Amino acid sequence: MLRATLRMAVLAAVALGLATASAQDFDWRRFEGTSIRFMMNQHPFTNWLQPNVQEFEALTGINVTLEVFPEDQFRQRRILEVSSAAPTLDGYMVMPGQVGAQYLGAGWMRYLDDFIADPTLTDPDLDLEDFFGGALGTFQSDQGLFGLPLQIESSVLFYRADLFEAAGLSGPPETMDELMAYAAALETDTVAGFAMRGRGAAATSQTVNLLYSFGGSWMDEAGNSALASPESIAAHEFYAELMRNYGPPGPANLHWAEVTSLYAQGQAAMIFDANVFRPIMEDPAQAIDVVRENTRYAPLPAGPAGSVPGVLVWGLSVNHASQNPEAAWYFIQWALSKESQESLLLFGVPAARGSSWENEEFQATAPADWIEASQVSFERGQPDWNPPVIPVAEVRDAYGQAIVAALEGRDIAAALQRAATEVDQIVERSQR
Amino acid sequence: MKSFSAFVDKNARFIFPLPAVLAILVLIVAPVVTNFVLSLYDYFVGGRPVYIGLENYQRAFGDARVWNGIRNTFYFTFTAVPLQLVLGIAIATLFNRDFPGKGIARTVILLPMVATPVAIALIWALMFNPSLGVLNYFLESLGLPRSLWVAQSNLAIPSLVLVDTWQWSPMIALILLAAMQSVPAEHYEAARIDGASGWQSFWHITIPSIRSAIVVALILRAVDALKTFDIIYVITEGGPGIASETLNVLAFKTGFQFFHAGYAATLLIFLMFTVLGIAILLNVIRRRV
Repeated sequence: MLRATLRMAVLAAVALGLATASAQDFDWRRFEGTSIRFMMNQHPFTNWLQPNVQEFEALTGINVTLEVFPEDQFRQRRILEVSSAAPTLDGYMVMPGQVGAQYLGAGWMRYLDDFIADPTLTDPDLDLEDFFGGALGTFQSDQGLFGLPLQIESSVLFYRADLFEAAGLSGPPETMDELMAYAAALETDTVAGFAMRGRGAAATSQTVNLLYSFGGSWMDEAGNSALASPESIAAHEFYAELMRNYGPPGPANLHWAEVTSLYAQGQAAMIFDANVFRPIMEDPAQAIDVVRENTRYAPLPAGPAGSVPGVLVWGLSVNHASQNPEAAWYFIQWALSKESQESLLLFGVPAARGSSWENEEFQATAPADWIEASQVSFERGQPDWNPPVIPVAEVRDAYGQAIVAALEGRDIAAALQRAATEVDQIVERSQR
Repeated sequence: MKSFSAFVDKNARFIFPLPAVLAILVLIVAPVVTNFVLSLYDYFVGGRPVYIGLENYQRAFGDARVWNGIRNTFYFTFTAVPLQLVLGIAIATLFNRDFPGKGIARTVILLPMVATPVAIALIWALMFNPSLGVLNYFLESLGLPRSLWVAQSNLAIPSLVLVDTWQWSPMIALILLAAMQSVPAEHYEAARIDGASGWQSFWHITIPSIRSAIVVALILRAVDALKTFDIIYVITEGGPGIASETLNVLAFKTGFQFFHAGYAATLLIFLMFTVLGIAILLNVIRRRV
């Protein structure tokens, strides 16, 4: 009787043990002894990562080599190894807005959906939902997920509360029509009502925010340039009117440095540019007192198609030729876990997880409206701040010429038509 | 050992120029040949080069942007160089006389030439800024209207000419000053005795005497101006749009930003022949004078 009871107990214990084992199938030490190699851009994320890698090695027993290069070299080395299918390269840092079309087209980034579906390979705490919509969206194609985001940036409206008050305006403009009306009300002889980039190719990453908010896009469904669409023409007519009437003199010369210094010197009442330029407006060496005291932040105003800002996202992907893709995936999960991302954000890099931005210590370091404007933009963000084609720089250059034409008062529809034709030729040439 | 020195003695005319010939082969001939070969390929950097014969050349002839580049190259060169020549002659004439502080003034005026071009260009870019730049501040304090400088298409090249002139007039002055100082003082004395005015002796003695130095200065400067890259790229990047995009800047963008190495090589062949043509033309003129 006693033995029978014992046997039952043992059986039950074994069964229970099995059950707990299957619930805890994910085991950080499963790939103990494996070595992996990641290629990294010399970026603040990498600076954060390097001293913390040991933690991952201790947790998993996986050996990690980080190869770090300055950005230009990094991109050259990466394409060299990835295109030659180097089996010893397991993963790399990547900005899909830069090379996504090329890398996906060539199949150089491993899809991760099979890993994610496998509970033995994916940390139950991964929580994909936690990443900002715009950040995760950047790593999603029709065929699945090809990496995870590590940092996200977007553009926001910077505006001067004191000038708003003096002009009788309350709160930031919420629509494009309001933006135009506010710019008109704020414009004086010495202060521009509004400023954003206008310098050809360099301006395209900003004007694309207007393009998408007016319902336009880079490409139509057939893969041809959509720069000459009615929505695009409307967006650029709006842009030209705004900049020509209420912008600073010589808008075709404005790069981000000009835009931010105009604002920092009190010569523009509103600007639209990357949210990461906030420190300039808080720096006594760069911004005058009234700017430091009165700068407020808001998301991109909504156009006919809503407020659709572009997001700039860096992330980590697994190399298609990796011999240890599972171990590489482990590394990515750890490097982009909730704890890691929170620590990254406190380190000063805009992390891609929503939960990190809720950190109280972080919230004390930045104005609440900047955090909110950023979060809203990250959630709504669309990934194509660059054209989704391989010859990115050449297409931006062709589009940039249309931007300059618009700012100099030439025929906008004709300039966009010319740009669209040129873009189609460029893309066609690149596919030969 | 003896036979070696005998060998050297016998073949000195081949051996002595050998280092120079090798240097020219490696540093000049090889890159030009490589560049020409590259111009026959469709080569997107990162991809595989595809041989396409003369297709790049065909495309370049029909490419409006290339013609815009050539037009800008000539516009820039033939505005800048004559201006610098006139200023150079004026500065040289000034320094050909004695005045207190001449030594210091002569050193100061050479400074633009010895400064780093990219640093100069960055400073000029700041000064050109239509809202925050110091140039418009000066214009305004003189009661003149503000200018958009490089921010306006039709002012971009004239503004760049201004920078180039500021930077390179001293070099022309230096060459011409050396020539002026070698004109015998007797010529001027004789002219003065004959009752020639200062202007007359400048026009009929100084200029004819330094004629060949003027042509040399012109060749050096024109060849250099046709190839100008640093100040244009740093200040305007060829903009606004393509308003100040010279052939050189276009070739750079094509090769290093758009990654079409073959087409960029073709554009550089165009540039090479343009520069060569102008240099030969000026050389012919030099032999005539």
